[in-house]
Amino acid sequence: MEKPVYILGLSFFYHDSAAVLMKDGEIVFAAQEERYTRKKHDEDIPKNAVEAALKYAGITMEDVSAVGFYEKPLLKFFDRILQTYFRVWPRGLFSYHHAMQEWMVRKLWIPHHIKKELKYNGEVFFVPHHEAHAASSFFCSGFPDATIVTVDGVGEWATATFGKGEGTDLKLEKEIHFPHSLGLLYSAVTYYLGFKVNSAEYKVMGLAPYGEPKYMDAMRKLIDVKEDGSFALNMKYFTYEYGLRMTGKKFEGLFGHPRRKPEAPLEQFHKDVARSLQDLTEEVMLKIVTHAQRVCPSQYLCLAGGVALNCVANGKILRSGLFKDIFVQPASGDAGGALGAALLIWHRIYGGRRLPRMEQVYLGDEFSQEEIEMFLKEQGLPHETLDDHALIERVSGLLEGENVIGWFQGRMEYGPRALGNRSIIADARNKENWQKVNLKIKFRESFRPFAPTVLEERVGEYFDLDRESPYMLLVADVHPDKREKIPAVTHVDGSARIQTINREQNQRYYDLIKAFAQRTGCPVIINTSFNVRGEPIVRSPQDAVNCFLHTHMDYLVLGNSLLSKETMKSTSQESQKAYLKQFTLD
Amino acid sequence: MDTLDTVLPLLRCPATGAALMRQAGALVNKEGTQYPIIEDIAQLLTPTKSVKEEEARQRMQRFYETFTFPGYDGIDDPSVLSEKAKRSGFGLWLDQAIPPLATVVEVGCGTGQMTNFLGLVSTRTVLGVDMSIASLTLGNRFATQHRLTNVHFLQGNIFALPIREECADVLICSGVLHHTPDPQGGYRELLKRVKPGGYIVIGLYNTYARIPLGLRKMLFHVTGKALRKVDYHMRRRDVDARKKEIWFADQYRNPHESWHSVDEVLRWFDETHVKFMSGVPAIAQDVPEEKDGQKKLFMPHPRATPIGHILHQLSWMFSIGREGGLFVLVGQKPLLQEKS
Repeated sequence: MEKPVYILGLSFFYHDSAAVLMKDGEIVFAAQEERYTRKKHDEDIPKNAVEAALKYAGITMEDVSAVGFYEKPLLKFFDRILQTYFRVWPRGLFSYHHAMQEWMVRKLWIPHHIKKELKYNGEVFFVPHHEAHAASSFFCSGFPDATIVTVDGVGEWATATFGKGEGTDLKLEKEIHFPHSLGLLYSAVTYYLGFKVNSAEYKVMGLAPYGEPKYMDAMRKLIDVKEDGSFALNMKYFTYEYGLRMTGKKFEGLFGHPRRKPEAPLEQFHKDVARSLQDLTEEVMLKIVTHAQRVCPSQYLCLAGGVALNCVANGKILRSGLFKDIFVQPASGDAGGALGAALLIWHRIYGGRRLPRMEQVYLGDEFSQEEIEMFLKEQGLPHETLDDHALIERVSGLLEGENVIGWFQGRMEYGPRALGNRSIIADARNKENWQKVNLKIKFRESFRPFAPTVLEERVGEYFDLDRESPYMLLVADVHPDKREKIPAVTHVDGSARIQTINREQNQRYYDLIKAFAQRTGCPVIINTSFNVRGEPIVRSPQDAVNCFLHTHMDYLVLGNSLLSKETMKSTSQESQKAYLKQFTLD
Repeated sequence: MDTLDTVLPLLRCPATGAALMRQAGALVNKEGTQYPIIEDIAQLLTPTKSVKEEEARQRMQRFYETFTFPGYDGIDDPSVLSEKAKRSGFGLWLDQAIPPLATVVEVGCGTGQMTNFLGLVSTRTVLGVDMSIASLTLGNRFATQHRLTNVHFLQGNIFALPIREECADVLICSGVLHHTPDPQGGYRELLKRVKPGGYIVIGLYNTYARIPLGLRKMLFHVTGKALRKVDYHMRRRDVDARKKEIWFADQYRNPHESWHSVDEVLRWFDETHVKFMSGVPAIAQDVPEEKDGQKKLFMPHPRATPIGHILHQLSWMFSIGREGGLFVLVGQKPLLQEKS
């Protein structure tokens, strides 16, 4: 028997380091390092994720045939750093000094790091940034051919490309270069609105429906968009080339307001700016894909890169009718890069066959029922363990009873979203749940809406959507007569960011929602990632219990075990009382 | 406050040691002595037995009724409090070490930031005791606002604690005993409250780490306000003037303070059969279970020799010295009380 080909795709040293392990063209394991180290957007060498991948596959580093490193724009454009540095000198002295130091110390020594830290002695392939993104989308789409568009990247130095994928190959046709980046425009506005760059761009997207597109003129001054979708930023408004801040006085002058201080109250002005930016982004995205299709015709579209996570724009593209179907790589950003790097090596170096369409992203760690119970016993946490049927019955009843539940099952999701294995779930029919989950559990701004999970076969009943959306990457309208029914997941503009679920994708999660639907008639629940603000999504039962205890969540389901906050409190008080009774006071 | 009833079994009359009952707006003992509950805070403060010590205590109470330290400025929700508490490392490690069903007592909780932080785990029962009503009120306001129904604040005296014996799984007393006339006596009182097998967490000013501060104190004594910027915190630009004043008063104008060495506290532990668990900063090397940045406070750590401890403490002058020179030792009470 021939030895299987194991390919390890890696990304690190920028943000969100990740590892992906493929075996003979099949994705065996994928996880982001932050889940292990509990440092959000951890960028260090993904030692833990690699270790977990090898353990899962039951192999050692010596069995790995090739390592693909997702090349960061910073590497590729080293000469550009210097060019920009001299162009803007001396304004950028400080920020560039820092970037250069980083570069000299760490980034030149990638192969050395991989060999030393991961104890790997085989070949390391460097995969170009945008090709990795394109590959992560096209090779997972199942489409025979497709127009590919990558729009990068929230805060990264690269920009947009398009090209065509056919069979086992893909080719990028055109690239738009730094500093003209749609992603950076998005990040600059994110910064201007007082949110955290590189991680809170989605908040701007969530804020947009509350505003009116009043600042389109100002937006158009920031960016010049051609019919072919190419664009140029007006650099006089931006300071990120030389500053540590993203926008300056001129930018503030254009909008007539100073930058919002983080955590300062959000006003209508901020919402209007967010809306204008969102409309502009959608306009540009539509132009790019239209042009891309003209040059690289196909009836299918594959999207990847940070901006592709902008699900509102994706919904618009889908409804434009330009394409028969679109595929968005759910693990965008660097996580997608590691995946793309592995896929490209599989096709280009090993001439491997295509993968079927990626139907789910449950690719990370898994904990057996035995492990869970052993852990609960060690910790002395009161719980009950139920069989599958009883569990579904019980939990669907608890959902109906307006409890907020931590739902921890099976393998961890790869990419930024929790899709039913590391999720916090609640009844979508109750508007109070929105506030409750936001403030009491996620400790976050209350304007942010929740996403619904809906049974795939009933999506059309509630939403203006006629297909699956398993990765929560499409936004569609809630039917007007249903908006009242599921207020906790309906945005002010009547839209929702939808996750559809079928039984093949996730049997237990599907069964739970089905049971809830049988009780209540409603096949929709709230699904939000299992974490609190500022922390990575939980990975292990320990993480899940920590999060459960530190929030006002009512119940926690770990595999087949159920923990109740109320029971825990009363158990604790009862045992305390019983203990103290031994020594009665007079 | 209804939820006070749930912790009533943990309380006792500070004067007689008898059980307390609820009666309208007060707690009463069998003899009918009343302790009022004002704005959710049960006022269980009774005088220290010796007159001289009581005078010292009153001076201290007046001081902390004036300086409520640290305040809740900008800490308007649990996640902010949590981030602040974890930033120091100590808060994070303590939170990680304390089990979810534990009863936690913090004596000298001040404004209750640690009490409230530990109470964010709603399955724990957390009691905060202090003399200063002004400070307790701040802490209680936060707990009420964020519905931390498992957190309770009480007014009390370390030397006449309103807490029953052997009821705390974890007892914390940090930055307090060195302001009392009898730190070791206070320690013994606190230890009585710990269950067999429970943990005691003691934070004190360190003799060596505080030497530079002592020198500065002498300097300020002579020069008055002029040279205050010699202190690192007084130079800081990111802290407002009011906070600087409080810091200055707490560190340099405190009516009473004593300094303690690692070996002195280890001796207290040894004399009471308490097993040394860990120190922050470490007093010897770490244990292998502690990966980068982690610290297992309730896991037994090695002790060094007295000379080794002195060397460690000398280095603290340049680390924790700037932050006031507070060191923490964690001990475990023996499961079966050995007869001494």
